[in-house]
Amino acid sequence: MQITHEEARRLIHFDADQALKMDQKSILRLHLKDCVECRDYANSMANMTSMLSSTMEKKWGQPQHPLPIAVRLPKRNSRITESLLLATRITAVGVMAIALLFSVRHVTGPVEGGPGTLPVSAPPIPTPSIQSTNTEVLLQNCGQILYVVQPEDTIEGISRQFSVSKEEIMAANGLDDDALQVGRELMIASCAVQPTGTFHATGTLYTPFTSPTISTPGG
Amino acid sequence: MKVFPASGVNKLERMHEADPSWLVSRCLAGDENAIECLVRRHEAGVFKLAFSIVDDEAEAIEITQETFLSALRSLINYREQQSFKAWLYTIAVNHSRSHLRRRRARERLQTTLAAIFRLEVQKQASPEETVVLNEKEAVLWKALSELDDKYRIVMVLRYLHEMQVSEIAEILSIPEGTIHSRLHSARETLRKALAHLNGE
Repeated sequence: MQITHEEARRLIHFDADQALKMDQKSILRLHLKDCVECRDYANSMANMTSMLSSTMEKKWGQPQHPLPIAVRLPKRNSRITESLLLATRITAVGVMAIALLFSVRHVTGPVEGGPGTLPVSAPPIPTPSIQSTNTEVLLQNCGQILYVVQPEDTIEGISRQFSVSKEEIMAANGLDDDALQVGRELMIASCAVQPTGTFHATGTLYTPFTSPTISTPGG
Repeated sequence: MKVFPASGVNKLERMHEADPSWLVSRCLAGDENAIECLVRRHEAGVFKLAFSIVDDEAEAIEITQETFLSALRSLINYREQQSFKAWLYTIAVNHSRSHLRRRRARERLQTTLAAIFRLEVQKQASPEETVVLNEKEAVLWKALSELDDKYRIVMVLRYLHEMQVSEIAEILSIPEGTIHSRLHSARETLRKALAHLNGE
């Protein structure tokens, strides 16, 4: 089968990418056998790629060892530690409530005919969400969210999901256009999520950067 | 950095060889030895990839660190149908590109300021510039550096990291046909640069 020089060169490139089928290899081999011009082209291409590999290896192929990489992750608490932490928090809230009760009684004096009452109800104990391992993260405050772009995500979709304008997302992340790369992390400032709402994220990790704060009565 | 007992990590490495997804599941369960093992296994490759894209050792170390932090934070998104290496390299390429964008913005600003104040911008020689290249290699290097990122990155993945077209397509999330076409154009440009030197 006869092929043109142009077709032969296209096959030479596919051969360099190891993407030629057996029959295409045979056709190319036959053409190169008879065509000096294409044979020179194939040789110059092979020389160039070989020199390119060795030059790249010379420049970048010797990484320093060991690399000064230290990956630190938030430590996960064991179940016992978590229980202890919870007990400590409950005790702390109780002590604060009692201290508040005494200080109120001290200022206003004891109420006749009945026990003193708490003027302020104790706040609920916040649930730490920064160490969540599943995809359901409870967003308790306004704050910044780190969103990892998934296949088929669009800026419009993300802006709808978080009720943040497309322009805000683009400005916060230095995006010039709508194109999103899968795996890219976007910082999203969002307050629109209801405090009790739960995200059902399919294959998406939301990491709130602001850890929930514990508000103390009178504090 | 915490020192992990070598025996535990070696055992994990053996398990990882038998079943790559096992190590990922151990990392998701919060096993610090598994995280150490995963980082140790891929850090050299990720560093080399970042270094070959940004051509700056300090920046490449920073990118390697960022890549692992991003990967570990979003490990839950990893799908086992995909190769872990390709998934990790996608993150590394994206971080490298964003570093390049920031660097170019910085350079533009520097040039503008230099023009305003008539300053002379001096470029410091980096250690890698001390590598001695012969004339042909220098011409090839210049031609490669002048390629647009989209061509340069595929050439680096193909000829330094020796990846198949299918792997490159997976990492860059673009069709294989596009990779073939970019490799074709880039090779042709570099071949012409060398041919010009040879007076052809």
